[in-house]
Amino acid sequence: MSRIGVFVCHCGENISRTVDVERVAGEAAQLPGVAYSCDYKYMCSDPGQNLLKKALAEHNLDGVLVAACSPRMHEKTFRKAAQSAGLNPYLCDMGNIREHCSWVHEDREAATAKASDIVKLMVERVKRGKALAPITVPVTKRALVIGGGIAGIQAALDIADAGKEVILVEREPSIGGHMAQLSETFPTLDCSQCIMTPKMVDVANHPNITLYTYAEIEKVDGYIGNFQVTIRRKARSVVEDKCTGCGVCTSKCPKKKIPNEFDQNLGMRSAIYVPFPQAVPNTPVIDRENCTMFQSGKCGVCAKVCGPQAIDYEQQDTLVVEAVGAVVVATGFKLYSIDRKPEESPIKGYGEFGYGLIPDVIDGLTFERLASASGPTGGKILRPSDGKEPRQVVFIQCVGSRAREKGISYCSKICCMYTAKHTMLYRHKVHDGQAYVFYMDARTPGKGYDEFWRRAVEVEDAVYIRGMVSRLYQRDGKIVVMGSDTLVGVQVEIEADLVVLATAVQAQDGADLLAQKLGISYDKYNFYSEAHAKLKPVECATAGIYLAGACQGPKDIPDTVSQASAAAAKVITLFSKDQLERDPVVAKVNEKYCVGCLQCKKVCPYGAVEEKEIRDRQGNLVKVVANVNAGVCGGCGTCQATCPSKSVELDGYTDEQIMAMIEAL
Amino acid sequence: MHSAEKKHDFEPKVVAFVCTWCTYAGADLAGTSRMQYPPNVRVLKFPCTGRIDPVFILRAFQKGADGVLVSGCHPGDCHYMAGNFHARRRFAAFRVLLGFVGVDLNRLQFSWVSAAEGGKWVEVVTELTERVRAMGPMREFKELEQEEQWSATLTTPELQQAYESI
Amino acid sequence: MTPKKLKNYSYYPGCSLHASGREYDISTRALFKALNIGLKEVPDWFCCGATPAHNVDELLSLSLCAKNLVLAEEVEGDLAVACAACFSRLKTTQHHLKVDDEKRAQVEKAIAGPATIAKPVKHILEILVRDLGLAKLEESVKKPLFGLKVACYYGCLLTRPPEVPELDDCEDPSIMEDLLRALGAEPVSWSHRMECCGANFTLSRPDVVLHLSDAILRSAQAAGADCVMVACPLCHGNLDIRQEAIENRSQEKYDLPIFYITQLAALAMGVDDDKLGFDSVIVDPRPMLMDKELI
Repeated sequence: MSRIGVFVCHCGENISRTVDVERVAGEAAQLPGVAYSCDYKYMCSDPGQNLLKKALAEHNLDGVLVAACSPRMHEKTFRKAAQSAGLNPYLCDMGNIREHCSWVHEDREAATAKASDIVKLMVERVKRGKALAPITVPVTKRALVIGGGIAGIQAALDIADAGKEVILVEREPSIGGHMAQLSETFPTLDCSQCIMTPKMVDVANHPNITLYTYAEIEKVDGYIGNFQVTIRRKARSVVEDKCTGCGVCTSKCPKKKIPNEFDQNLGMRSAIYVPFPQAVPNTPVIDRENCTMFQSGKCGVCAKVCGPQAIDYEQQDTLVVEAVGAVVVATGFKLYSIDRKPEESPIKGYGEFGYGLIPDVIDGLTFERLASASGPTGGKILRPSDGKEPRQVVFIQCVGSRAREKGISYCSKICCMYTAKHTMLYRHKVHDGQAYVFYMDARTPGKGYDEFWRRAVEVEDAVYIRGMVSRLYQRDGKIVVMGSDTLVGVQVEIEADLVVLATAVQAQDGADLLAQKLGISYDKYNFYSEAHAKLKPVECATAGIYLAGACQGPKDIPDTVSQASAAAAKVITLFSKDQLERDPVVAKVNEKYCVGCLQCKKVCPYGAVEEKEIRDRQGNLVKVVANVNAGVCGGCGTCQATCPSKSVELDGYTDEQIMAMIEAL
Repeated sequence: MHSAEKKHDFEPKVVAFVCTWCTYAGADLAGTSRMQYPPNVRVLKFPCTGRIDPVFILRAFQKGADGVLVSGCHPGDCHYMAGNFHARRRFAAFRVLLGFVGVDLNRLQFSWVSAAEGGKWVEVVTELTERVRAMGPMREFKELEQEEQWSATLTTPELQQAYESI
Repeated sequence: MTPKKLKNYSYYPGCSLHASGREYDISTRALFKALNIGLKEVPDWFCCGATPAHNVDELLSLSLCAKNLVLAEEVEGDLAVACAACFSRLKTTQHHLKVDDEKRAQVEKAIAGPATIAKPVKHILEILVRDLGLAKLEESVKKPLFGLKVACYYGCLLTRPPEVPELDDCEDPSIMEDLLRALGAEPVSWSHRMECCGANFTLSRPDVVLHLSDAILRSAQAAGADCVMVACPLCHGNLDIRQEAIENRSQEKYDLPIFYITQLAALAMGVDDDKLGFDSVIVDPRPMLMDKELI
């Protein structure tokens, strides 16, 4: 026979005003299996907790039910108290007679009856409770950071500075990401590269950071604290250890007319190249698709001129396996392209803007390269078609963003600010030039942001026209911008020399594929989903994986850096213990009954169920059963409700407990 | 809203199977907001609607429930990512089955109540209670169980004692 | 040898094609005859409501179209429509009734019967370019329109809104240009293919029409077009009938003949130019066509 103790709380008068607590305690005493019951004014107070502890010892109780407020309020409190008196904390439960009873009913008689019922049900549950021990999993104190933009760099540096090892993986030949492409940054107009490149160098020099550039994630196995990550290091055709970064190969390469992606195809690069002068690492890579040696087998100039003999045309991709305990995903964003690619893009076309066929219609990132001192024009604003300085520039915001009918309903967040910045940069470089901005709303929340935007309008004379543009077309070397000014209620036609589109911020190409490898969820736009929009903005629902930067949603640099540091803090917290402790509400398989149908595996949202082979002593396969990895299991119990043979059970919510509660109705 | 003064001839038993993250918290919110609803409902907490086995619903009806409510997070909001989707599928099929065996489906309600929807919780519970009250007691399964009691020997003193000794 | 009889179509001309746009009707019939495609007029058809009805009463507009579509069921073959406005209204009705059960119920009450309106509604362009196909079309050309530079004018209705006509890319279509190339003509690249001509403001606000249509003609001329090809009788009216007024207003000389798609197509198929209604338009295209040795 169980020996349960029932403790009924008055909660001052919060409960006792509507519920006859003495009667509830009295009726509880009559329940089979209840060895002790009492009521008390404030169970959560120190005297209340001491009462509980004392009763546990005196009455030799083997289970506790506190009928009081919501378990969401004080379950931890009472479990701790019970534990300190020697009871397994999971044998202590709460009956909610405040939020679910005294506060929502006025009829004292009915409320008291309900409270007694709640106690009765919960006693049945406590009786059948099991002592559970927190699950511990070992933690590998190394982190993987995916993506070497400002988010990944910040997270990697923070974790490395805390003394933990970091593996930083970047898809491109150099770290730096989009921030390295920017000219100046809002709201202070400080040079992006000036603040970015020192951080890049820090990454390269940090003893705790292993940098894999030109590498991608191939496979991710394991779970929080214990991931095995396979990284594909793409063949660079240059041996990193031998290369001194002298740059002779790139200057001697005969193939020099390849559009440079880093300069948004405005400038040219060679077939063996470093994306930009400040690249980290400063090791070139051969673009095999454009290299004469790879295409026709004739050339080999780079190998001939390379002093340290670092060129290796035979180099193959290699796979590296790294064990890590946590992952920070920082894969960033891409800008939507208005080119006609409806099959690749969720945005349903921008034919009215010429589908990218008008050469002087460019996007914001291309404007950044035009404005950048290290860009293809040396920082002069010159339009791509004829290299002339544009006298009138029209900026169009919300291209793709906030356009439900086009397929994207979200706001890209950064465009209002960077467009304001662009108008300023333009005015600073072309003093008599005029900037026009077509906008829906100017969204400038952020420290110093609205002042910045006002400056663009009031000091730098940018003309802001509230309305959208319906068409762009070429006429006599100009681009005619047809739009509307909705504040004045007139149609506007502007002859522009250059048009800059603030195109939508989208998730990186392949973001969905990476998410599938990592087992994290993503929204319909392929942005990664955080575990909770407000209270867990950095964590993924999958334990041990954290998000930083624009891969989770459009973000500017300050927000990105904040989130990256937050993700790093989460990783460091995780690494502060040798063993990971977690709530033991997890599913367990009864291997005797399991027939290995693996329905549970199909429904498990965490991928926690794996197949397990049971063999006899001779090693013959007896059967295959399901096995739940307690480190990964989230404890939802979907497997249990699905299992046809009832051979998987969720601790804390067993069929036996629930059925007993229903019986007691 | 329910008036406490009003006396009824029949007080139905309503059982609510709820998930801990959304609907349980929503019911808590109704409490902290001091909203009022009929005291007929008994709440059973689950980690997730995905954990709720249709057998529980059957058993509840058998054990005297006149109405059953199953409620969890809104689709897409599941704390466990997809548990409520599995639940939704399961119950869509189960409902048909329950109708087939002759249970009036007005006695069974599925709903999504988020942690922010204290008001919705009150609405759902009140509506179901009043609906079931108007329908009168659910007899079908109870009669079945009586038959079961007749044919089986669940009520021998030994078994009763064993049951109570748990 | 007469070519094999092709698929037959039912045909909804619409009121304009029996009135101001008669040459569109004449040339459509002539073209289909030349291509040996059956075209049978829907019996007892009436006005679709076109531009005014849906601005005044949506139910009326949907019901008018639905009833016509029900009537069309009596004739075999997909429904061929030439007028861009009728095409747009008929397609819109199909779209609305498909997605909105409430509207469907209202319409069925109004037309006192089930709205069986699933028959595919096809614009002449679609029939020529998709059903018949450009290769076949090219084969059937008897008098290629070599040297004729045409500004293809889609207007605002033919491809918009994107979810309704499903004819081509809604902002950057190419179906007219594809057709013309098959006929041997030379479509020009120009800016105002998709702009509005002012449509039925032609009566209430001619100033608006003159302004908008002027921009269209100006841009067609700037692109070096010999003529403009249209799909809509309203556009035709604004660009053709109003052309002199536009010229007077802007002190420009355009002298741009406005053709219907079917007029040019039929011409290329060898239909005698006397049978294409060239005599019933304001800007006489014949001098230009003679100049190009096309007639």
